Amino acid sequence: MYLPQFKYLKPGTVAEAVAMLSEYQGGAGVIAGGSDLIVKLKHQIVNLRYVVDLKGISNLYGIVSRADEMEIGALTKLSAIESSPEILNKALLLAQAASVVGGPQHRSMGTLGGNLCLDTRCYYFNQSKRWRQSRPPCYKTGGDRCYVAAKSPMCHAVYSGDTAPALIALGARVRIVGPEGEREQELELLYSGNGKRPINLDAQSIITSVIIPISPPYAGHAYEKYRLREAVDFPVVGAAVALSFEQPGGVCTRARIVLNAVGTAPSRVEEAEKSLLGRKLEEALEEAAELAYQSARPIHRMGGSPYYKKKLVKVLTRRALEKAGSMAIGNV
Amino acid sequence: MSEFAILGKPTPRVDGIPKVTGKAQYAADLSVAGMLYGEVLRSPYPHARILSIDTSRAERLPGVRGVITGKDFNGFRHGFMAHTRDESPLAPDKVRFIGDEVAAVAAIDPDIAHEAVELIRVEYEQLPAVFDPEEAMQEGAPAIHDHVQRNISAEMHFNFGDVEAAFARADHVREDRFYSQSVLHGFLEPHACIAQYEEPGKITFWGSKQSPYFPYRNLASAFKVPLSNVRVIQPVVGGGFGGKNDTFALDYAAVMLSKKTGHPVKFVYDIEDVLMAGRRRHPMIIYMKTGVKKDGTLLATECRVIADGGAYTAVGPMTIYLAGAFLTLPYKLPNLKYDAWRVYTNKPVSVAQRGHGVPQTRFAADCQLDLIAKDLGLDPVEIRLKNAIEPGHVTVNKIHISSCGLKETINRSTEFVNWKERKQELAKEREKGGRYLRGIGLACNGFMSGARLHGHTACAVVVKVHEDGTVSVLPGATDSGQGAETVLATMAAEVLGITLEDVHVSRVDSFLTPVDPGSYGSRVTSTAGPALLIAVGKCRTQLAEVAAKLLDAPVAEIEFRERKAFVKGDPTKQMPFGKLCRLAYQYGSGQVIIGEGYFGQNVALPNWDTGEGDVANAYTFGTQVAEVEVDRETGQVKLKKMIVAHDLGKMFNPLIVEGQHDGSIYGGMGQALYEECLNEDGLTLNPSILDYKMPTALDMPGVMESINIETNDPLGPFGAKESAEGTQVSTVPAIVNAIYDATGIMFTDLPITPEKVLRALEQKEQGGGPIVPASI
Ligand SMILES: Cc1cc2nc3c(=O)[nH]c(=O)nc-3n(C[C@H](O)[C@H](O)[C@H](O)COP(=O)(O)OP(=O)(O)OC[C@H]3O[C@@H](n4cnc5c(N)ncnc54)[C@H](O)[C@@H]3O)c2cc1C
Ligand code: SF4
Repeated sequence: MYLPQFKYLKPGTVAEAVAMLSEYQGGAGVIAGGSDLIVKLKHQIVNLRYVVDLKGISNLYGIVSRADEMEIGALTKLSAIESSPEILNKALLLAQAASVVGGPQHRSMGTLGGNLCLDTRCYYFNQSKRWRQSRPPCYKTGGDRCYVAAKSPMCHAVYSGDTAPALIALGARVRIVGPEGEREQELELLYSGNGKRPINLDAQSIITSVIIPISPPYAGHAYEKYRLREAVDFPVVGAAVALSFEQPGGVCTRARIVLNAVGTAPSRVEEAEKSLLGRKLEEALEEAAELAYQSARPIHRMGGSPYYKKKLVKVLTRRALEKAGSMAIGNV
Repeated sequence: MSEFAILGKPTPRVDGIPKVTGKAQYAADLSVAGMLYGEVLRSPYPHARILSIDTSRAERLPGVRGVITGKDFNGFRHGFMAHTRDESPLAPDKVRFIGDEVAAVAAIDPDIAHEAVELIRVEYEQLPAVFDPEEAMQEGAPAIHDHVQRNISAEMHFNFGDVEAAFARADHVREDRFYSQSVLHGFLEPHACIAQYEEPGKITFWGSKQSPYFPYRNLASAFKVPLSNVRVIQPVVGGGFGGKNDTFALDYAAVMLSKKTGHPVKFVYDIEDVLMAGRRRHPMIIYMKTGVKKDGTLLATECRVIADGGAYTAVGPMTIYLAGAFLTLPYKLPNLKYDAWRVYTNKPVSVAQRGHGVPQTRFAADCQLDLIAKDLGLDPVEIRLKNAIEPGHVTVNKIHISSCGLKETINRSTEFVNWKERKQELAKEREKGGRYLRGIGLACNGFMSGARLHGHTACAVVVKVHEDGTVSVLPGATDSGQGAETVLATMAAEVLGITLEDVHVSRVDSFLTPVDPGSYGSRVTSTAGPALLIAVGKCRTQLAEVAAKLLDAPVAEIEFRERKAFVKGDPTKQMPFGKLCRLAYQYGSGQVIIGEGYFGQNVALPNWDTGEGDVANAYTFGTQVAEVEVDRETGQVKLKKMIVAHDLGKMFNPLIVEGQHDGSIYGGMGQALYEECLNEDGLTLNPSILDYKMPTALDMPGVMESINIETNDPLGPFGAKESAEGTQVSTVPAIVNAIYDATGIMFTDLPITPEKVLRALEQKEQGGGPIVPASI
């Protein structure tokens, strides 16, 4: 497929990168592993005159461990994350999620930062320009309609990056550098819930790292991803769960349940989380899964009907809770 | 010890190393000096009249050398038979599906060609379109081809015996409706070609073709040049499966643009071209009514097929012919009524795909057989053994069976899994509950070995022995990835007693290699094989005559093995093969050791109107046994085991046969569980291999077993028959029947998506029937 021309820029520092993005504002974008961006450029759903490659910035790589948290550079490859002893030991949930992204080729090119900044997806959006020319554009490509929900006033494209729900479940934060300097924020806040513009990040800023608090003792977590094929596919539905307990087999003291691919952002199910607190897992588990089921509002033509995706939400939430529970016991 | 030196041994393929090391040259890898790059413009509408095409802006773009439209072809149309020529190289006046090609450009680089295509302005008048074949058949539906009534592109009506009387006599009659969806061929190499037109009227064409003599004929007639002026040179081909037979827009456009510009022109389609606009398997709606005796004996089948043909006819009449004619294999069926309509719709064109029409109706028939077995309280194996065809059988539509190992394939494959015990064991396991429902199922197949369908279907081979003892084989046949080069080399080496390294098999070059129908209808081993044996036999005779003189022995006593010529029973009299060849070339005034042979099916043409007659010299038979695991909570089905038992006459190379079997599992599993061209108002929603769910290597079953049954066919080379398409005929029904065993639900609509399964399981729990709406 045809790749439109662009100018390739390779900054050596974050400051340089931000300066380039500011200078060519509107026409520039960053590339990390390129496993998503190159496809979008070929489809001409993003059009860039300048592509700013972050791969020459050495301090965006690597994993740093501190007493109560760990920090992972945005350019760290997913393949490095899934096999890092450090991460397997202290943030297994992230390693699990990273290991089920795409296929091996995607993971050896794809980076953590790129994965977190994934755009939402839709059958009517992730298509070539030629394909899209068969019909008038939809909201997400600048038009005035939605092909998925004809009566809807907005875009319902689905967020389906795999590591974000895991990291939100772990309570991760991201470090962002922009023209105004550096800031740190909850990862959860990166996701706008707006299908058309799902990532809350201005075009001059970049994510430099992800900070993960170390889980307390008696914690367990799991990411359940359902997809048709064993590799390559994005999730039809995903559920990330992180739990902490008072003691092994004791009551739940902290719970996060994050659903993936059921809406325009990775979404926490707070009612379900609350329902677990102060209770033993086996007593609260079914109710939590049911609450997740009730809260999910998937839209059709996104890998399955709403009926089916809701069923999956329940099954996957239950399975993730069960796994997290047994991991917490195994952790003693 | 085997009587053969190479035949039957697990020898690695001769094309294996160049392919896995990236050295093999596919069409897209080739370049010719001065070459331009082409690109096509496709229709964005499913049905529209072309009012005007303005190419002036494209022509003015710097770097553009030529722009063509449908008008450049002066009304030339192509198609399989004279009365079905309904397709133009580029649509001249009307487009009939999204992706129909309307114009093409040639430029000095691919980016300029792409920009130029976007500058072509086409004014369309959109017409009402129709996508559902049953709607398209109604009076008053939009006419896709102006003079065709009710959009019927082809129809077949067969009537053998008396089905009505048989149904009246039957103890049990069942009627079911099945649907087999649209799936792609799945070759990983998209279409590509380079064409060079030189005055006066010489065409050289390099293209990814499984049947290179199709473009040889089509290009000669499109450009009105003698056949001897058309040189089709075949690069390595990255899979075909029926999707690389025809001559396509890019092929004609490359030649036309070369003629206009004076430069060679290269076209490379990408995977989106293939998935969005390429050819695919015929979707079929199949109504099947079958009557049986209480003991399971088949009495009659009445089958009605509505095949969704897409926008043009192509090879379609043959597809619906085979889908019906093969209903009388692999089980004895004394009465058959078959009515099929192939209907135009505003969608990409349906053509042959591995198994060519037969997998669709076999899916319906073999799944219905399991429903019948259940109704009658019979075991699926028992009912198949009861009806299985045996050697010497003549079907009601006069298909003559010689060798037939069907019963052995049933017995060996079911013994392999301990059918009875395994079935009970899984039933008990299901009663216990748990996350998975597991089940086991089987289905059988019968297929043609070397199709005799229409026109020229004989194969020819030339063999040249060089004076150093090496050998060149020049077949007309094509290796489209199936391993034909290795098989032909094996046969030549075996006859001359030399090694595979001594034999070089050339690819098709229509200046040099003999004309051939193409690699379809499972014909290379079965039809080119005997031609090769004739050709290499002539070389052997010449060499034996020289050896007899040199070794002073009767010609009949000369043997060839271990790269030597021997005199039978006298080990002192021998000579290296290379030396013999050298001496032969010096013998007298010098001999040239060369042989040629051709071989055609020894049967009359089948009757196209009645459906009667043979379609091949020989027929293959087989059985597949599948074990599946169904996740109760997600509805996901995983194929865990697949046993393929095939009567291939004679096994030449277990590695290649296993590859064919694995391929048939892959293709059939994809169709049963994963793949579907999602179409919305004529637009393919999933034109990428991310969204079009071809299974990955990780999805393949952990247990895949090949069981080869050798029946030594009297007409096959060394007794061999096909081991190519036949096996994919029964993959789908074996899987569907296994799901039936696991869930008690017969899924009659392909593909069996997890959502369909989950809905049906829930409906079953609530006591309702399994009627499942499709969803994406
Ligand atoms: C066939 C296929 C299957 C896939 N399957 C999956 C899957 O199952 N799950 C999944 O999660 N993903 C999947 N992907 C998407 C993609 O491969 C991964 O998400 C990958 O991690 C993206 O990382 P990257 O470094 O390649 O991103 P890039 O392509 O380089 O960038 C992606 C986006 O993020 C932006 N970006 C990158 N880094 C930064 C940064 N540091 N700061 C700010 N913005 C940044 C880019 O501008 C771009 O918009 C798939 C892709 C393909 C083509
Ligand atoms: S959800 Fe609607 S608006 Fe958004 S990309 Fe899909 S079709 Fe377009």
